[in-house]
Amino acid sequence: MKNNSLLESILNYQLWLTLALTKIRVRFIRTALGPIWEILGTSIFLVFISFIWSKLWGDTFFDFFCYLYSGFIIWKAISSIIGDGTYLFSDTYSNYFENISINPFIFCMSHTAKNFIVLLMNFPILIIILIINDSFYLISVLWMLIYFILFLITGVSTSFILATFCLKFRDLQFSIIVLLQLIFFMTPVIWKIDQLSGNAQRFIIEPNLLYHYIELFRTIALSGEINMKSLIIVSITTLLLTITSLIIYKKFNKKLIFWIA
Amino acid sequence: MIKIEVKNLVLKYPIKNLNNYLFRAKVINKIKKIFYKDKDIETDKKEKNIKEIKALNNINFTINSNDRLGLIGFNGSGKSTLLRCLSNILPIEQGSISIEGADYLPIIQPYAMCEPDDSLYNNIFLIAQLFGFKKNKIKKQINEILEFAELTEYKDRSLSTLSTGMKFKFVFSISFVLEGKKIFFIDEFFTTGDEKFQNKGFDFIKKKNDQIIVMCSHSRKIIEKFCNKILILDKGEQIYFGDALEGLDRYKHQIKN
Repeated sequence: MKNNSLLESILNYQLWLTLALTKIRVRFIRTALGPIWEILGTSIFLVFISFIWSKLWGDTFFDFFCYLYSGFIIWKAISSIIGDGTYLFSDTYSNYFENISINPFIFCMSHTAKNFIVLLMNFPILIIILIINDSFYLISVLWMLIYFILFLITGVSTSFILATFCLKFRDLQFSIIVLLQLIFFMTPVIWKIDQLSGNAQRFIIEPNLLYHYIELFRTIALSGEINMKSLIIVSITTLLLTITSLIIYKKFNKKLIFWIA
Repeated sequence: MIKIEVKNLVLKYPIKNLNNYLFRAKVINKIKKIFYKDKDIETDKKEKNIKEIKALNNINFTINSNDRLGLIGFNGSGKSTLLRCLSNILPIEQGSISIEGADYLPIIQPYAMCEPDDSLYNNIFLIAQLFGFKKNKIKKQINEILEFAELTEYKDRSLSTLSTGMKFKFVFSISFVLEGKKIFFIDEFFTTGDEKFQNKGFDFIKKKNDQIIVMCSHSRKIIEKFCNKILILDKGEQIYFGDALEGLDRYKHQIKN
């Protein structure tokens, strides 16, 4: 068994990719449409929401649909990384810990890869609506690649930190899920930032790190431009989360198995 | 030359009383302390203070190429824990474990890592990769695995539809047909398969030279048939290490007493 060191685990892409694809495949097993449900479900939901919301807020349907689609798919990926990440070690992969000697980062990479693949599955629809809306820019591809790197690193380190702490303090798992539901309504995913007054923007939106991850993705997708403020915040957050996860790994790696048992 | 050397191995295991986690239980205990000062609370306190037990204490043995070591002992004696220490799943507290000359494969509860709804074919890839084999190697030998397991016609069926015996064949074939591992740590594994396949498996393993197998089992018959050395454990302590037949005699007396 040679899955122990951190570097070997990162390089062992075959294993974490297999774990990720297995989870996706098993989720849709015995269905006729398979993973197409992922795209279909999101699209149908967002078409209906956009129809109602655009009427409520006097926006055009298509503009609002583009805004909502780009924000919602990234929110879904982020919330799934955080939400499912809370029980990654205590439930999803606990059997693996007890049966093989394996680096826990493998599971975090698999978890992030799974959510990233699901995000990518929604991309064809996003690209189609951007082309129809005449707002598809080639430069977006370059910015998007940079965003993806930051997103993946954040995903791995966040899920490791959450999975470790939620394994030790099981109440945290439920608190985070409640908090995540609240944050959804406090983050401009299904509403627009300009609907808030100046002070509310400063106190509700700016400190919300998830907003910056969503805003960065949305500006790249919709305008081909980059929101520098969000890019800086996202980069610093990614760096801090990575350092934190490595410190936690070094300190608690050997204790994880005892927290599971 | 393959060699496993275990010296003065000690493993302390944290023991948790699930009630201690509950806020409700903590509050009730505090209230009890105010109103009663009886023996029960003292016992609770004592229980709370026991935070870890010595799951393994002072284990020493050396085995070399072609040795097949059987771990035997009553429930809770530390057999599976020792296998987990050898497999580097549990970090040891004191002492040392040195494994030289080959890569090892722990076969502890392999079914727990399978995806029961997924096909046999996909599960072979999953389990074999978790065991540390590369995709190319698995692709090359997948038909060989299915043939040895006598499960070729079941390859597209979900794993959950297989019987326990078939699952044993499935995991056995992944572990032993795929080439590369020479040290195997096996936990209560051979008891599930039918005798015909057990014999086929034993013969297959015995044909291979230069390997070490450490297996724990409650079945004296299997240990007698398969192992040349034995280690008897009792409450984490090493009672005997040496020749299998002599050790089994000793164990028989232990059971009677």
